[in-house]
Amino acid sequence: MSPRDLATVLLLLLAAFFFVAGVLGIVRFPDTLTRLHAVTKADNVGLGLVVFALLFQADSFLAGAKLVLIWILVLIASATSCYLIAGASLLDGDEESG
Amino acid sequence: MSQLFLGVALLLVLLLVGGLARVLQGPTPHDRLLAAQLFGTTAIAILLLLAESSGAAGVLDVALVLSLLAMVSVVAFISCSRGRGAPE
Amino acid sequence: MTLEMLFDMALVGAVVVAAAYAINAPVLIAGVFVYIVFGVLLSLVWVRLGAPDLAIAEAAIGAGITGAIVLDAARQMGMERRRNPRLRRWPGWLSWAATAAVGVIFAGVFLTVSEGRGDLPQRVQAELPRVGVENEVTAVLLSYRGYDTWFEVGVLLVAALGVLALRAPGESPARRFRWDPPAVADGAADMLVPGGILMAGYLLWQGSRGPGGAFQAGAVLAAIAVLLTLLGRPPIARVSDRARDALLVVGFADFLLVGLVAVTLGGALFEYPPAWAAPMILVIESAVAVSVAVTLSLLFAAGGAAGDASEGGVP
Repeated sequence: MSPRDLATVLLLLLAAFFFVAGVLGIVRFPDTLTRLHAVTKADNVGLGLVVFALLFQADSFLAGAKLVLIWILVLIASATSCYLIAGASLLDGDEESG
Repeated sequence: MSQLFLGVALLLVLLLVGGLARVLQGPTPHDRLLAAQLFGTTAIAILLLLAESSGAAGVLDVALVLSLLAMVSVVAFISCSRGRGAPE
Repeated sequence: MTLEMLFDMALVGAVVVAAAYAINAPVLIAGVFVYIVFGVLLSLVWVRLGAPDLAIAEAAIGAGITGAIVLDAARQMGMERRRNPRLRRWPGWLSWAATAAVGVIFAGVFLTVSEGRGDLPQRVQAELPRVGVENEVTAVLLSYRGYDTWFEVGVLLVAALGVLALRAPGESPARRFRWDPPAVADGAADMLVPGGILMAGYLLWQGSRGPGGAFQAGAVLAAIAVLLTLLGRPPIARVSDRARDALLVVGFADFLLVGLVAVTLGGALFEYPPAWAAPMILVIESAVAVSVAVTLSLLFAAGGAAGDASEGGVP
């Protein structure tokens, strides 16, 4: 196995760990804000590791750039979404009833 | 290598099915929305893995569109619940 | 069993589970969110079926437009509304029987089509050089069956006219979402809007060679318009009613015009001469993309106005 493939495998396993942790968090954590914390890990780090893993296999600069662009777009969407959800959740007083 | 990509994609699909229960359980709409948001990202990861394992054209463009529009549903929910006409 | 089959079975299982959850959700808003995930799963299914054109369209419409439309409807019905108890009295066996019947029909169609397909794919491929585009889907949509697609653009136009006719008088999208969105949301939208316009142009241009085309580009543009409408900055309010109507019609009219030009050049309607086919198709697709974008964003921006108008009508 070439070093590039090895890096891909390791990074993918790490990414899978983050996605498992994110879903476990969303199912098991007690309230909205802790669940939100779990989701952001899977969103930002999990997908980032997948992108990083696949970059080692990209055969052209353009394909790699597309992968990175997808990650950047998800970072923008995820950061904004989680800010909006957290704000709305606090305004509704979820943390008291949750 | 492409088998590994498919295997991880399979794991992500199973995770998605398992986590869907949270959308039903809530208890607040924000919990449901968070779970839906996570599955959007999961689907993007699955698409990246499928693109790499199959090499088919256009699969990355699907992921690109999904990531570009990942925010729209969240903004829709917030503006419907916070904006004019929101249930008090 | 190969890993491919396992993955496909898991994906189909996920689609069925999501559909069941969406129908049986305890409260309305839960069903809405599961339905949004269901749409994303469907675009994965299209990818696995080797139809990336449909997957892109499904992703853009599902994530960008129907999600917002259904959420807006849920707002008007009450997000935490329980399931309608009257629906439960609907005899269960009847809906199962109807579903089974539809399933049998689909299975029958699937089996006959896959048997009777014959050499059609080869014939489509063989004619491609004369069509001027390399993407089979675009070739079929705009050249082989130009009439169908022209009328489909007409159907979209009729839908837009219906929405305009049903709109409550004096209602405007700018009034529907008048709020003070968080600065973060506005800032993110300011980054995404140019990206979306670029993406639409890319899909339009790409459509002649690979997955993409007028409908995908129009759907992405419309999704960006929906995002801006939600933030209280509806792009549709920036053009006059007359200009909006012109943009709605331009796809249908331009399609016909190019078809007629083909007639004057000695062909039948929509039979583009091979030397001119590529630019002619691009001209049609550009105009159709604009009309699709305006129509889809109008479906959201002008929809659901009745309840809001009565609400806003109180002095």
